[in-house]
Amino acid sequence: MRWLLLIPPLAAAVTLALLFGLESGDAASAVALNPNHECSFCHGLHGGNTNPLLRGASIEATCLSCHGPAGTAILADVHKNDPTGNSCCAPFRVTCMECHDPHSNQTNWRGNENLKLVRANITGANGTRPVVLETRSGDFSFCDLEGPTGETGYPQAVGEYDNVCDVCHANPDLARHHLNSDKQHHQSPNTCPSCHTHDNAFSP
Amino acid sequence: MQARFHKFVRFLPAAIVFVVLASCEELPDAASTHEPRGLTGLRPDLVSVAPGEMQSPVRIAQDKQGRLYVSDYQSQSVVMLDAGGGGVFVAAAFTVPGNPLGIEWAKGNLLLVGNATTRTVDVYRTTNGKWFYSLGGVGAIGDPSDIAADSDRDLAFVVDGEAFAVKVFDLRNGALLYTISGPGPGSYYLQNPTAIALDPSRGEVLVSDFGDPAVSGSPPSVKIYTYEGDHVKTLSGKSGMLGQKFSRPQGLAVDALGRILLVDAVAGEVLVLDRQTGNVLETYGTLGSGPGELWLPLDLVVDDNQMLYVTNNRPRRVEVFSLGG
Repeated sequence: MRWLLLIPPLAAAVTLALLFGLESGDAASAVALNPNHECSFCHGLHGGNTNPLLRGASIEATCLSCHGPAGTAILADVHKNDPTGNSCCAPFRVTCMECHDPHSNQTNWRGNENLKLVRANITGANGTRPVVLETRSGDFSFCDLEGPTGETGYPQAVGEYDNVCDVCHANPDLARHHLNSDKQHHQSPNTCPSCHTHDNAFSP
Repeated sequence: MQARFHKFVRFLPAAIVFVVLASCEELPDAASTHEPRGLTGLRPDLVSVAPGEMQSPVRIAQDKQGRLYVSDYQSQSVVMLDAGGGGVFVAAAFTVPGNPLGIEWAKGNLLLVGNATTRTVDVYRTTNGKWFYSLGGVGAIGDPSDIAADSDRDLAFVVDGEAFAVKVFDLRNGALLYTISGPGPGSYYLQNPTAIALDPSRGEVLVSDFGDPAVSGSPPSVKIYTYEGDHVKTLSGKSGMLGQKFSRPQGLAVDALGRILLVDAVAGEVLVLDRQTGNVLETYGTLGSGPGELWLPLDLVVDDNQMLYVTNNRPRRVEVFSLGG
């Protein structure tokens, strides 16, 4: 009768596989990519509180329980403008899953793995646009200003959007530093998050 | 459903919740800013926030007079709150040069603030918010996630997440005395420490530890050491094959009965643990964003009146519970 002990874990595996298979695609690659994202760390078959059986009150809370302040992983916060009312722009709030997909591991056009789990396509104020991931700092593909032939200061809005930020910020109406050609290469060759850090909600 | 209802009813009296909204006014004019703020409920709009309110409350501490101190990561400030008279009120705030994490009060009106940006633990005077000195100097602490102080013994214990250790300093001169744990395998070593509390009556240090999800046999836990660093015991967050008591242990405290109060950030609960067995005796708060509900809670403090204060990060509030209902 010891085989009965296998039923709970098997049921858990099947349920989670079904959930992720139907909802988000390839869960296996996320597990292979980042061991910290093993299923049970975010989902609980028994004790999961929200759909899809997340341990947290929301996706955001689940992510930020490790990635938020006082977390133990790479720190981040949702992308929002200054809540004290000092922003130039209308209030906005871009949360984790709008740019990231923990169950998808895209590779960039140079073949490197996307360790930041950035979506291949991001829907923002400009509609849905592809993210072209490139290398700049090792294998970390994020917010790159480097063009296909290696030159820096790659022109914006040339049909592809050459980093995560550009999906929205190639639009002059949304990017203060892209308002004119003189400022397209603001702070080049630095990447956007080197000043607009993720843990500070990408504020300058 | 019935069980959930009973649970709801059972803890409803305990969930007496007040909302604490911080204003980042200048020190020290507490009287002019000592106004009650709106109570309870998730702010209807998490984006548009009135000037000066808390943006990301993380750690909380309390002084002998009952005043609360909250580190606000996003606004890069320390917010001071007064509790009493049926509510919690903003008294004052001061800014710090970077993102504050750990916070602790110590005798002599000293406020110890861990700064994630400058990688220091800076000591300020609570009377005027002025910097006094830094523990260990610049670079002594890579990730000052939490701080606990024993004023009677002039000791400050700092969780350094980057070093996987607790660093112990002399409060009188800021000197580093010794280090507890450090990177290593086994139950003695801290894997991903987050928060700390002291039990002065036993001379023990309690540390929340996320464990290492990539390593089997390293579950989330509360690790207990003596002040000198000897490992006493580990209370595991796992329960049986699939059960989980807690998975993201953050702030913790020891109450007057010797029980361990522990925040589970992802479950939105404060657990009361039996110190001997680690069993969950009761819980406070439920997962959610409404009154009495916790959405990414990160720290707690219990005062002499058995009032429990919890930093509720996403709703940007401090929730107040009455222990024992």
